Amino acid sequence: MQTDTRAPEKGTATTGTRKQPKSGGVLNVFSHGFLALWAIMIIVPLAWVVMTAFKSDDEIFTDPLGLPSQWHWENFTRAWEKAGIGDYFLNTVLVVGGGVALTMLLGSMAAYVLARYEFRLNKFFYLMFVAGMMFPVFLALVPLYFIVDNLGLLGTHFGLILVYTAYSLPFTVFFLAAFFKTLPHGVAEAAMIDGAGHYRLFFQVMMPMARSGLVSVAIFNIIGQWNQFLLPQVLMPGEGNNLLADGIASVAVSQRYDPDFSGLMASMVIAMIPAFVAYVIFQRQIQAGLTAGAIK
Amino acid sequence: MASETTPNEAGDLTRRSVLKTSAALGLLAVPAVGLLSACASGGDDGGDDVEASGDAKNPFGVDPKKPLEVVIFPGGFGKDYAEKQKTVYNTNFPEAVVTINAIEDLRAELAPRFQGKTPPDILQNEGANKIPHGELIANNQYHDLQPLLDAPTLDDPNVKIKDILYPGVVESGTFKTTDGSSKFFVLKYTYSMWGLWYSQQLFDEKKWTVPTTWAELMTLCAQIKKDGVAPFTYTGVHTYYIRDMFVTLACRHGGTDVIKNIDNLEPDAWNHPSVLAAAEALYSLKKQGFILGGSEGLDHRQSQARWVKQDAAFIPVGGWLENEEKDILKKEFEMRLMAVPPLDGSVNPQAINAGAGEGYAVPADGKNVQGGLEWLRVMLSAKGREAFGADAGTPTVVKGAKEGLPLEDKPGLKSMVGLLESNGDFAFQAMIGDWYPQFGDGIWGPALGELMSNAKNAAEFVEACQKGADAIASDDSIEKQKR
Amino acid sequence: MKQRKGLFITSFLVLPVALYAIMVISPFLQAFYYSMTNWTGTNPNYKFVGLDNFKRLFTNELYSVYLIPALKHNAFLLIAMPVIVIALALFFAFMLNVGGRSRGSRIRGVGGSKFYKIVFFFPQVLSVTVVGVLWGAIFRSDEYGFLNSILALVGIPTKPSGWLSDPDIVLLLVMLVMIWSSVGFYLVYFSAAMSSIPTEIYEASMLDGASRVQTFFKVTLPLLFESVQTAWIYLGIIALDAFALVFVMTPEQGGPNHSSEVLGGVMYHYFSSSKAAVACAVGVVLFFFTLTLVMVSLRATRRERVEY
Repeated sequence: MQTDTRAPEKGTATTGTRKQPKSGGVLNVFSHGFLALWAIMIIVPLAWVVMTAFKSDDEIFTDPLGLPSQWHWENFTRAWEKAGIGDYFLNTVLVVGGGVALTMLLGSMAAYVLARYEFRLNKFFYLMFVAGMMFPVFLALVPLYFIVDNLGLLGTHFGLILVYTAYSLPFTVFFLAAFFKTLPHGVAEAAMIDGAGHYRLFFQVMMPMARSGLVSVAIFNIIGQWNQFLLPQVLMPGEGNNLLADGIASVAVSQRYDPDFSGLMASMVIAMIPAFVAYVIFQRQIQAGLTAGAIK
Repeated sequence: MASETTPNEAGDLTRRSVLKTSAALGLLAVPAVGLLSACASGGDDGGDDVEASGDAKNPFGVDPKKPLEVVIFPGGFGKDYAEKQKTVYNTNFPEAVVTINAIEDLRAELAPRFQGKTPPDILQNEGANKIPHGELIANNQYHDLQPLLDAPTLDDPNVKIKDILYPGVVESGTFKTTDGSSKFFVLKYTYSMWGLWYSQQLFDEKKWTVPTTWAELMTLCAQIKKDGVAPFTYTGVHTYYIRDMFVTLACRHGGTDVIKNIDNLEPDAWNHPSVLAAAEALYSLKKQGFILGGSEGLDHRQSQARWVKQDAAFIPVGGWLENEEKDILKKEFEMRLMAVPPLDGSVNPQAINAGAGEGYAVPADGKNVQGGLEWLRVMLSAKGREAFGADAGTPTVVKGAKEGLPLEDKPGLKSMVGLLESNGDFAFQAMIGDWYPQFGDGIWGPALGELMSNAKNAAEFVEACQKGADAIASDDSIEKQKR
Repeated sequence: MKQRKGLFITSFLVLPVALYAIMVISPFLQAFYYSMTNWTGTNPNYKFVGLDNFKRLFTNELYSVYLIPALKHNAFLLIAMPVIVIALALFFAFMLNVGGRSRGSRIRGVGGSKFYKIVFFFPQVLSVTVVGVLWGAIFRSDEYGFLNSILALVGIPTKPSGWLSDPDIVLLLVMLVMIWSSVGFYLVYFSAAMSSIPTEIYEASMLDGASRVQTFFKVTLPLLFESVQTAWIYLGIIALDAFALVFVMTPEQGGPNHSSEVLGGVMYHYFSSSKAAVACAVGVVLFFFTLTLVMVSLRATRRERVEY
């Protein structure tokens, strides 16, 4: 990063010439190199997994780097049938979808009220939510298990959605409250004068105005809930109930008794593909959502 | 039980915080177990008391129509043998529906069932995720197996089961209960040993001779290395696979008392010269380049696969190896077992790390305790053993168990049985790791791993272990065992 | 009107607060109580033992071999991981938005920036266990490991002590994987924030004779301060929960010899070895640990917002 700062770049510099001021040139070579290196660090391992998923177990060990001599599609059928990766995926989508929707609804309701209304326990509730960011989820697990079970929700998607929502509230309330505070008061007052009630004001005026902030917090929550490992592991006992994270973990653990490395790799590829497709389709929206949320 | 505690206070608390509980807590299931038994009552109301009658056909009074659930840990031995034993059970009780469930993660699936008082009728409690016997015994969740010992065998009504077992079997399954008495709770079913496995085929091909002393082993290793093969591989990520080499070397060098003193947490037990000698020997393996590169990061299936591919000459594993790798082992591989050869000056050079293993228990709250006991009687019968021997290829704790084993098909088994016969009088086992898992998993295992990978030297290894053992000895909250 | 407002507030708060109290607050309070008992998870007659568990964790060799390294490792991760991720993400984001050659005084990102944004983000959508298994295979310690095969290809001999089995680097490797999977998200996040900074500001700064590096530190960074803070908090939470990767990747789940132990893993260990009260005590330690760090970092990062 140490470049010659005395050679300011001129706005009029022409393209593609070596006579460019050093700063830009060095930076370009360096940055391109580093960017490319990082891209390789991501693409190569993933490509390797895909390739390995097509090999036989034997070939994986004798020739870890080469292309498969034969494309063993049956690895994928085996992974699909034995491990139920498809079910894990659907379970995950269902729970994360429900969890994020409920998180955003309850989170924005609480955040809105806490940010824009004055009442006696306001500060108390706000701090209670925000303090939750410091609680290690692990600490709550055992009592939480009994609570969920007592509600009759153990092993159900709904139960897990409620738990995901509860544990996403601290972060969500913290950021949305900050966001709601920045929204102009004038609009709200005008709406009230026009006779809109508190509910209409929230759903028809404030929510649309806060859309960008909501989208950006929702993206954080999708990422966070998608990666949950502990909660489903504990709260979704029994076979066929797994989400992706704990499902893959149990496939990996069963390797200890019944090694099937190619099958494991195939399971991983199956798990990766829909995520990849969804990301490529929605990446524009994700970036747009984050862009909008970034300005406050 | 545990009358010095305050059951009322605890009972109230748990009744409040525990709820109706029937489902699972996944990997963390265990904490729940206690809560429920607390609810039920603090007392020892575990199941019906069964006594053995003289009735040779049905000594425990099994209800012939009652179904029976058998849970098998399908690790090294699979579950096929249990299916065959089921037919033996069904010859006497044809109407009983017997279900056999193979479960790998016992803790996750069974702890909630113990908690809900719906455990299976027979449980093979083994594997990485077993529920420690002591934990269940402390809550009166195992049924006393004394009636089994007093019952006649299935094959001969005039012989009692306790008379057909190898010596030491009852002792190894006997645990202290919370009221201070000792009872026989766990039937360890296999009779097996640990040691170094090698391929006779590879040895013949390379013209290597099997060493009988540590010095010979070192000379051979140098030769093996020269021939382009790694002398050793081992399972680095599960450090209990390394324990055998250490305890066998130490026990052979200094005698059984070295191990007994360690087990009994005697002060300075680890500072015995034989312990240091054993540690130095293990340390030297990597130092001399005798270990397959990267072994410290391999799990048991990976290291075993490398050994089967003949990338390494020796691997330390227990008696189940042949069965575990049967899918990739070829018969001409001619696997053989030997005990770790003794160091110079060993006073007990014939010692082998052998004994009973694979614990089966009858949960006290099972619906069919009588059937559970009967199932164990079936397992110990000639036909039951035959079924196990044919599939699992491992001797059982019944004397003369080699009969009925498929010795000709399984060269590894044959060589192990030979060793058990020739050196059986010198068999020993180290108990410290099982008695005090905190020491075994937290101190001893990691220290052994670092000794093998040369991150620790022998003196540092001894020091770490002595420190850990002292910590166990001085911790009042840990119930001490004695042998 | 006043009444109606009260009703509105109540109706909006009752569900979130109830859910939160039941699912989050109450289990935590229970866990605090358990941490002061001798509950093993199976003994019905457990009793109150005060701070014994905490004393044991810090002073008894059998317990401190787990706790002390875990505390150190979490502290290390908590400091190093967010710094590196944020630094890398900022650097990449700056490259992708501003790093390109100027053409006719237009500020642009380097070529292929769209491609980079897609690729870099991708690890974030992988499930954490997939990431763990993937990197476990890459770091496999013998010559069948991916990394070792690559090294062999270019003539570098296999690292003799393995990768994840080397106590000196295992934690760094876990951290590397954490960085690998999170940089992309923060890159997109920061570059979103950067793209909302009006390009005139950059152009003005450059016309003033500032280099890119100067522009970055004088213009970009201050304007991104809030985004960075958000990222910091979220990354801090991830750093404290390194458990999933440690669980999947490392030998003996925290080894070798406790050199990748993290607090979550230590709790897991005690839960699964029938020492539930000790596990809860570790959780309480983790809580106060986090609390302290949050206090410190809040104090350190308190400053005025930059308006533009």
